[in-house]
Amino acid sequence: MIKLENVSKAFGGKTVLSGLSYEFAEGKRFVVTGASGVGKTTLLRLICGLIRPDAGRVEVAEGARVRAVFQEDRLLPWRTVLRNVTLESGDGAYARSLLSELGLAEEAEAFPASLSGGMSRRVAIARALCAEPDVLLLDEPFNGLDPDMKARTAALIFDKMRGKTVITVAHDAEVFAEYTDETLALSPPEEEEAPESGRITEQK
Amino acid sequence: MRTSTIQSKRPKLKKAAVAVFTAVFWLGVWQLAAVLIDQSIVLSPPLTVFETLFRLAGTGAFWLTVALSALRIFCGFALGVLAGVAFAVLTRVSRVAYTLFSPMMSVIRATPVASFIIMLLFFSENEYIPTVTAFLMVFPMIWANTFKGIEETDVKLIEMSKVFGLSRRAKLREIYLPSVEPYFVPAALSSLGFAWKAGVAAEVLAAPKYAVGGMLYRAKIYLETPEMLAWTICVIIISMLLEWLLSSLLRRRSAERSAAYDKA
Repeated sequence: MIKLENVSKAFGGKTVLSGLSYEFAEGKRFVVTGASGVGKTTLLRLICGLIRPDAGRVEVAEGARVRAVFQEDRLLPWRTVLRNVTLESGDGAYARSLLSELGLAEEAEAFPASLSGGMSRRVAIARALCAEPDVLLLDEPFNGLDPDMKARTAALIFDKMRGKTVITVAHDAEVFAEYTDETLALSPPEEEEAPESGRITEQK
Repeated sequence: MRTSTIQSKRPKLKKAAVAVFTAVFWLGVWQLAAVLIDQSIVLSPPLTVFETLFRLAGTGAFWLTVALSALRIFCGFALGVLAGVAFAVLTRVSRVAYTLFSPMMSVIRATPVASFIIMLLFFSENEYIPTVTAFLMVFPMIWANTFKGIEETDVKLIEMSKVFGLSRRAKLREIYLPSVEPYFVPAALSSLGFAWKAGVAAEVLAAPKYAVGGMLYRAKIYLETPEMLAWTICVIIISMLLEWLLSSLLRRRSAERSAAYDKA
């Protein structure tokens, strides 16, 4: 479904990814872990096409709808919660059901500025789910959520994404333990090293 | 925003009383000054001026003059807005266009209105000079502010719109227009005021047929101070009226939005 071949990416001379090869199989659930600055977010940005690799190839199956929950919520401040969620699909009924499952039924007509951090996070998640993606990219999706809400939100995401691909970047991978098929652990690229090395991949 | 909300909560009657008091106070000052100077040619008393204004307003020529002036200047304003927005998009998209046009905008903005009018007198029909002058006031202002608005549009929202596959139209409606609006609306309002005043100044010099500025000039030539002041009051009233009209048109939507923000 998504294939990375020898992908390298540097920003301002600082190598973030070097010679990364990996295949995200269709319908599986992946967690990407690693210390900060190892290129987890860069990896997601490469997959959703916001940036191009300096070297190597990123292949995404044709026609696959890739949608994302970014590290920041990126909600439209001038639109209501409901309008933000239906931004792409326009499906109000589904949006309302997602919001209510995420405990936001009352906030549908509110504007993002009136929401707490955790609420905005869930709106961003609802927006991505409402788009009914084939591939869902989650960048630290549970920041600002309490443990109960984390569990509830994770259950909803993986229920809605059943049989589809989910790639989650998280430092608290344990929350996702029961929803993980494969873990990709990124480590910082070592200086002056051959491009193939510096990556550990473990299969669960 | 908050201040205006508080003000609007004040009883309307009290507001009106304050307005009347202020008006009476300044009319009193004007009257006193006129009495002290005691030369109607230098400063006519308010009563004489308002009498003249009402007499003028009773003639068809007055309304034709006002309508044609407003039309000429509003055309310049509308063209300035269209060109300003179009150039803002062009210069934002193309670095070459920006490099070429931004010095031109600075020059237009720094040039005195009178210089434009005199230059235009050489090679334009007098009829069009107020329109072109108004255009030249509005164009760089709208350009600069719209450009700034596009430039300040949140890159993160644009990225989001790419990932969510929004069409160009949806991007424009959902992201660019709301981002540019807070820059565009104040620029449009203040440039309308500038356009109107500069347009009337152009009419003074170019003297096309049926023009408020032409009437001002005529009153000055014949030392008709009450008439000159009456036309000036007319210019002020129209300026306020235009601004009120445009702001109620443009602000309705942003007021709703900021009400929503204020609730937050």
